[in-house]
Amino acid sequence: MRKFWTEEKLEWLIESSNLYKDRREILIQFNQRFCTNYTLRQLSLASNEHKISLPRASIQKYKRYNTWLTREKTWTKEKLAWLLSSKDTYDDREDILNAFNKKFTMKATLKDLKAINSKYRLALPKANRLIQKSLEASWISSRGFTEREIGDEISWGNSQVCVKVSHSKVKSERYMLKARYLYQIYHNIKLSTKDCIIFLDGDTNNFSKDNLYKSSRFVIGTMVGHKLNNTKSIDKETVIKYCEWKEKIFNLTCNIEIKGGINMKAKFKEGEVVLYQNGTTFELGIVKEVVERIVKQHLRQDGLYGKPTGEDTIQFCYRVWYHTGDTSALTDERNLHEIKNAYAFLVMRRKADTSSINETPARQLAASIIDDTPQLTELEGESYYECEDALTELINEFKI
Amino acid sequence: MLKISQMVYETSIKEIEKLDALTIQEIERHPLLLKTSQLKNSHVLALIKQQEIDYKEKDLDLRTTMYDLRQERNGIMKQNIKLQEQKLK
Repeated sequence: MRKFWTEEKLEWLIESSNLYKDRREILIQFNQRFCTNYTLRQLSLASNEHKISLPRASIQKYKRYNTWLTREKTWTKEKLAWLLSSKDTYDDREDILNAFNKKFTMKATLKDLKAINSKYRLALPKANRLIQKSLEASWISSRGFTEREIGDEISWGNSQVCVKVSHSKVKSERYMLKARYLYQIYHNIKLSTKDCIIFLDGDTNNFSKDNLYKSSRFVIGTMVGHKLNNTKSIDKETVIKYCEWKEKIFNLTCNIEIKGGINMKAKFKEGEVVLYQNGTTFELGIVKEVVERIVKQHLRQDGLYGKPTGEDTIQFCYRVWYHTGDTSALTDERNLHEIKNAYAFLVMRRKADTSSINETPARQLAASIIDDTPQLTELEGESYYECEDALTELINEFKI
Repeated sequence: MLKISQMVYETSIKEIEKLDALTIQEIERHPLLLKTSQLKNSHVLALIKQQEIDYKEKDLDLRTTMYDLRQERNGIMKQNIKLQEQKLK
């Protein structure tokens, strides 16, 4: 059997390990000397097997020999920068491709652009023309036409019939509900986005003039909210009138609230003792300050492109003095509770840090009694407070 | 049934007209006007709901009677079939 690694070869390797600093150079010299075409892997295996310490093969030098690593890049930074900037000048990817091939004399395809687009996250526009062409072809084969004519009807969902009103690119402008469209024609008016059309007899296919009724979103919301949309005993027109009445009241109340009318009152006053609820725990506190905040509520948007609108309402927040220290944070009104029988209790406040007493005359008197009575002057801590509380209660003629 | 429906309709229209005629300043001066309307509105809602409940109760009664009658009819038919079977034997 012929030996790959003869003693001569191994000796040469041991000698050359001190001469050269790169394993690749050793390999080249080796192949030249012994007229072989050994690979780097074979050399590494031999060095492991015969325990010959060879220098490492450096990557830098490897690049010199590997054409793949030293190849000229197709997608250079310049090309990518051009593609990024092309978004502003071209709307279609096909146009970008043509201009790109022309500028850099390349033969790139849409597939290449797709790969580069996703790899470098270029966010190039779609090839809309091509997409449209293929879509049109499929539409013609499936339905026989590419685009509907103005006035054509389509059904959306279960019972909604829409009419095509324009060839606009925006879908919401292209189609309109048939009921809205016919109402506008019957009454020669333009409906706003806030208006809704109701079928009085409940039949969504009855588009007669008498059956269509214009109303607001609030009315429909009230009807659904109070479960009046399917009343059997009362006709729809009556229910609508009732909801319109409710809407009127709501609008007036909102107007007055905003202007500072009858309902613009805070729930608690300054100095009032309140009960603060935090989950299942409660705390006593005294209202220090009432703060008003204007909040936009019921934020809504008219259609896809409308501006968000909403009514301004005033919310009250409170700066409450709890058991210790000062409070800078505001407490929401919904977390505070009124103590209905506060009159039945004597609410006394003790400053926790200083053991000093509150300003009430009864407590002041109790403190002075303790100070003046020689038997009580030695009291300290809890026993002092207990005594002070008991005396204050006695002074106030309060019995537990 | 018709009476309540008509009453709701008329009241609603009257109240809307009344509120339309009022200005915000007037309501601010006499807030009870709005409060009264609110109360009336709640009362009317209660009436509508009661009406619906009555209607549903009646509907349920009718349905129960109909099912009872159907059951009775089925019983009679079963007996009839048994009699015919006996005759054939």
